[in-house]
Amino acid sequence: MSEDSAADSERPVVATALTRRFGRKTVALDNVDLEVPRGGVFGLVGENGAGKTTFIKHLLGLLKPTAGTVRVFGIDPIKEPENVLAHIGYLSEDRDLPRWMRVRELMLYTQAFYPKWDHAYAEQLRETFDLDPRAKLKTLSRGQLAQAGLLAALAHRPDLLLLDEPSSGLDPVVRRDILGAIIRTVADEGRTVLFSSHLLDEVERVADTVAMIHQGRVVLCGTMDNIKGSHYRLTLRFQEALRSAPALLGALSYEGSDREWTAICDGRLDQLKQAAVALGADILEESVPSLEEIFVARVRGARHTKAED
Amino acid sequence: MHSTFLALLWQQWRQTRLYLFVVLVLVLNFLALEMSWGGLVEPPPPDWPIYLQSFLLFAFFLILLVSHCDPENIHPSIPSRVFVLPVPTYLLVTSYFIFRVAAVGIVSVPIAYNYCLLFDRPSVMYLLPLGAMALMAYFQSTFWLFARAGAIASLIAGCVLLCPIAALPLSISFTLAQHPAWTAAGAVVFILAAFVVSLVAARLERRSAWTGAWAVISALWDWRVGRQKPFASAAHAQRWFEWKRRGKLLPVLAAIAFVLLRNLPRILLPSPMHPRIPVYQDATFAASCTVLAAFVAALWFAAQDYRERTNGLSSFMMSRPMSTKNLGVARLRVGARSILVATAVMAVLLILRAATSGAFMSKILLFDAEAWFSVKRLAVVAGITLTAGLGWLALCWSLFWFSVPLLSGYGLIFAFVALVEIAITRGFGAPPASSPETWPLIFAVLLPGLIGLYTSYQRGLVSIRGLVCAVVLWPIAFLDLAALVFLAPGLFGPGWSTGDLALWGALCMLPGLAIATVPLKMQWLRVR
Repeated sequence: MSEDSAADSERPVVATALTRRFGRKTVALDNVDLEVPRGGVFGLVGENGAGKTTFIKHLLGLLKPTAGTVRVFGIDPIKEPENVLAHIGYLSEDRDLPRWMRVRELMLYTQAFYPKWDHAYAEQLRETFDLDPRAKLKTLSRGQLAQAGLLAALAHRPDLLLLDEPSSGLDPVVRRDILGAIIRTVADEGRTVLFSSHLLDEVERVADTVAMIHQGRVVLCGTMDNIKGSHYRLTLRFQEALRSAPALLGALSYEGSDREWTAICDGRLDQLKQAAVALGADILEESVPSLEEIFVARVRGARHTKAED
Repeated sequence: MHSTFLALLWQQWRQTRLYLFVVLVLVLNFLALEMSWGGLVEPPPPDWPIYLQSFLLFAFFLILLVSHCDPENIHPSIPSRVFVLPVPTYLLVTSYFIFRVAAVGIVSVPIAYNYCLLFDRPSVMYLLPLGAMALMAYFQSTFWLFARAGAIASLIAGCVLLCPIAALPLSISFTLAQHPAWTAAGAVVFILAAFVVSLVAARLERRSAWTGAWAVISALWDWRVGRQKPFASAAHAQRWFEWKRRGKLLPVLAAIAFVLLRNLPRILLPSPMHPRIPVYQDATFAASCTVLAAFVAALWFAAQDYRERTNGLSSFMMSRPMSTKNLGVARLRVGARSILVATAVMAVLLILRAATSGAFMSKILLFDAEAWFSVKRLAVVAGITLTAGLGWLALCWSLFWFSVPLLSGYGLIFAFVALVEIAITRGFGAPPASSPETWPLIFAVLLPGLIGLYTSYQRGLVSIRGLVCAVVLWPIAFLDLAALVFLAPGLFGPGWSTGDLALWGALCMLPGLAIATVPLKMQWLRVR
């Protein structure tokens, strides 16, 4: 693959009906369809064990799909890992950097693999992270290790940056100011960032597009604006106390009891309001829920549906 | 579990059950030998059981000692718990400590017995176990108290202390005038030189600057600066990576093992013509090889993270934009280079040793055509060469592939080298296969394999691919053993020498090695 074709690709990542099983029983990814648009920040959210890391490993060609296909820059990463990996910067969840290396050695070693390595940028990142070039990686804290890994992933200015739980181990200041700034910078330069996280406030702050994975399935995917624009928190009051949650059309989850219930809903606001009125409820409050609330509502909804099945 | 005491009891049992079992077997074995030989009053002439036992115990002793030299092997919660636990539990934890120290003492007793027989110095019988126990206690306490820093400090201190402690009570007379002193000194110098050269070569290799002797001198001068220069290519970077990761290991361990185990009896024994030297040296050679293999395997295992079952390729390395083939080739090349360095050390030591034997030198210098060009001997040499080549290849594949065949590979290689040594130093008319020196060699093959299998099982490494590899390589070892133990003497009669058996072993190994070296689908390594 030429660099031009990689840069021209509008959909760096396309997964079609991607299914991955470990053994006979464990389904890590179940018929996942995802497209990551170029030049933005794509957040992959889900609880632990949802399949986020498994998905990312498929993009790197480290795992082979049981069914379905994965294309990165239009290339099958299983068949042509070199061509795909040359355009990817990757920070693994477990920070499995070689601990015997020094920071300086890590930089030199990584540099050798990437012709586009930006030495000045690497040094700038190292100074930003305050990493001693002579320090061995095994002497670094978990947060510093993440920073060293981030440096190695970023300094060759990859077309696609894959960050698996990048916030893990980082203190709040670094997480908010440095990581956030870096991710935004990469995206603003027209490159693509895909990062997984279970810190939904962070995803909400940084991501342009979000996919929610629950038990290997994509339960929601869309731009942040669309997601936030299609979900509402409605607080309803009924004339009489209800024994169970009301059957409001579009409601994903409920909280409350007796006469007052709060629902997280998916749909157009006017339709939701009409449905509430039709049930005999007064709308006390309407607001936009946080991503975390949407996620929890979706997961609960999925569990509820599964239980019913 | 309803109490801390029971929980700790269970923990101690889980941690020590293997040691307990092995120690019990060894003690029973030792007792049986004692009964059959009538104790220490009238020691029997050295026979194969004593060397076998010596070998087993020595290997176990070293493995035990070294495995405890890593402070990470000690459960981190124990030291902190000790100070807050009730008395019975405290005693339990302490007994764990005492058990380990006692195990070292028990294991060292038969070794001391063997030394006692070999050196005719009864004091060894008491001093060696006591010294070993004291050292173990010292190491263990220091590790617990000061963790890794303590481990390093105590190892250095222990090494410094051990020499005079061992030398003084034994009244060792270093009668170097009777021995070729240059053998020992030369070996040490050579080992150090080989290591330095390999180190410098690896450093130069990273930037394609290996141009000859001048480059070595320049590199020595430019030592620090060389560290800071970028790599010439990704392939150079990857080879540097592999070298740094475990490439140094084998030459270092080979050097240590040989200096300590091969030259020690040469220095200690009063006469170079002592009748017990050859057999003892064969036994210690096999022991050292086995221990060496076990060390390498242990360190290999320690370096792996099998949770991901990625065959030693971490996601950090697997995400390098380099083909799996080239990643493998880098490992292969460094593995081969390491083995070559180690083998060079071995070869020079063998030559140095053989050079002390007039017969060998006369063969070389006088160009004894009859001795060198007989068909049988040419076949032996060809078989040995072929085996060595295939063995190296299998070993490199093992480095790249799985640890179970790695162990078998090391065992086979070292057993083979031992056979070569016997063939060279004894000549080809040496004792037949059923002679004592065969047994340690057999265990040089078997024991690493058994340790490997057990460790593989422990680490959850036994998968379908691992089993396939094991199934391919284990028959090789067994075929070789069968050839050595059963087939050759029965087929060819007692006149066959160890050199002939080496050939037979080589022939038996060929089919298996050929299968093992068939290029397998490289993508398997990268993609699950």
